[in-house]
Amino acid sequence: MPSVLLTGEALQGALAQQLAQFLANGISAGSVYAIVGVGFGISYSVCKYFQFTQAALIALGAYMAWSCFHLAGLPMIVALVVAIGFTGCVGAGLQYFFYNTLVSRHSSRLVILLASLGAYIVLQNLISLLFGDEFLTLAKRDASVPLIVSSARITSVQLLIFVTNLLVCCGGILLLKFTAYGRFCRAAADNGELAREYGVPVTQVHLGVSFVTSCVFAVAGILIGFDRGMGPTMGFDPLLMGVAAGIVGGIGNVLGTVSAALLMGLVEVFGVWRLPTQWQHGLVFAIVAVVVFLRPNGLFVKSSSIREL
Amino acid sequence: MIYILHIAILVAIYSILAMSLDVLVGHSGLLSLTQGAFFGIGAYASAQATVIYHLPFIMSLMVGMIAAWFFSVVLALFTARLKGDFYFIATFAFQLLISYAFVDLTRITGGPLGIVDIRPYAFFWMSAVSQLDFAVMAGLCAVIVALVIRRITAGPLGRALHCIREDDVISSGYGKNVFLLRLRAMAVSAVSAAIAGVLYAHYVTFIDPSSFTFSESVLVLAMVVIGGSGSVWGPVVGASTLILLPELLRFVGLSSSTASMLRQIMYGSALIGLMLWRSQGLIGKYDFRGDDRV
Repeated sequence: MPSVLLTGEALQGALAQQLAQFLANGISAGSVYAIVGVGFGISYSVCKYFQFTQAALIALGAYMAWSCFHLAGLPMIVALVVAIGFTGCVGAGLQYFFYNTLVSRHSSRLVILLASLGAYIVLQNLISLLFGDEFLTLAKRDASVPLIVSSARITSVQLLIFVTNLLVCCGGILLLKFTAYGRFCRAAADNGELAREYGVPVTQVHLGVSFVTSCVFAVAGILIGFDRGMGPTMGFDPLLMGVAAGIVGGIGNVLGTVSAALLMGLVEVFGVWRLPTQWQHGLVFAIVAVVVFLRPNGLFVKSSSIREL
Repeated sequence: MIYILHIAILVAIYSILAMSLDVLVGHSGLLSLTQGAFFGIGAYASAQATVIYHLPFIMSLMVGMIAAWFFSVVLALFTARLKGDFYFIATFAFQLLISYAFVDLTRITGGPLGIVDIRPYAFFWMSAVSQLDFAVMAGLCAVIVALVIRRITAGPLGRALHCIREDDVISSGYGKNVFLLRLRAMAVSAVSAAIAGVLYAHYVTFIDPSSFTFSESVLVLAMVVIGGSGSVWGPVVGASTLILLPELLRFVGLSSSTASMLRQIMYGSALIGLMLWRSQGLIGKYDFRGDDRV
């Protein structure tokens, strides 16, 4: 992270240390929102409806990783791969059996929204029933060794979060821009019916998108599990912030979403510097509200391509 | 007898909540998750009016309604340009913010400990309230709210709201001020929810943030959707069903946490089932299909 280094060199003393620490915390918080926001953005722009179950998928990924690692005793890497794959399959299954059924009944967006809220409640309570409501953590040792980068303590988890964010962001852009599959996705996102007429397998595209985005949500859940620990409702706040990042950055715009998410993470952390902690979320929502009020299509979208929210 | 009266009072309070949400969901086509927040705002404002300023019940009812009205106007301003699922997400964020505020603004709300011993020195004209009195008054309040909401939704405002619900662009083309009409619908809804909150605070005489969370909002939304939206009786039927069914489950004998999870799973499954096969609910009129299809 060059910016951290720069600030460290330019400024000295306690203030610099505090600043660097805030920067590191803000970037790692924002990176989680970015990962969720990219997943939400791709899914929403292709499928055109909001899926509340994504919050449950975040929790499911973390809990699967926890049970593979702590209960089944698999090595960490295997546990993570199994958890991510499993969550992806659950997401694709939901798409195939649940959302496709709703769409085939010509449901409106509101009907799908309510049904997905119901499905979220069912999934979240199933997780509560299976694993209990108590707070769990994925990390093996509770004290991970911090790296000292120019007087800021950066935990290895924070570094991992940042690197994963970069990977997801680049992966998303590469997938959407440079593969045939990504072309199908963009076609389906632009105009599903027209794409279907031109021979794009829209139903399969939806399935594939839900598999990939579910994997992304699982990754986000696992990272949160490492960083802050997990509970059955852990998917809630990150999904909301991810959606906010998606709205601010422009839905389906990967770079915009990531920059908005990083900005929100920084605002959240720097806000606490002067304001009491409880206004952390309030400040971010206030900024999102102002942005939505002034530019409903997001900060990084050209105003010529107006879309209805 | 006390138990039956207790259930009756809960049904009355939740019927008011469900009817208040139906103004938005059924008549304006705005799915909203704010009812728990406005329920809480009414409860907290009136509780403080009673506990600190020793106002009579009528006055603290007014305080609760005014507080809810104020917050609903703020929410309406910020959500003016949203509709459909994004409006829903914005109300969801509002609910979370208000929940955080209930927990964190300890000086105003008492924090996680809540406010205890909420006793008005005069309840309407009565100085001492028995449970029967309270049940009668709660029932009366529910009837009055139902009549007022019916009067509003059957009148010109209701017709204009139905018009916006079906197509907001065409309505604004016909000269309807969509923003102002939506603001009025949200204010009516919030103020009615606050009445329920005031009744609740003065009935249980103790409030804490756990009664006004996101899941409370979901419960009220489930009541409206299950009972049926766009009608007077739908929300009442939904509220009665979702209050009475869990009470029946109580006699089966499960541990309370398992029971609450099973109850939630029940609501969730009911939502899914109704959306798949009967989206207007049990006896409702509006089936959420005015919005564009996917």
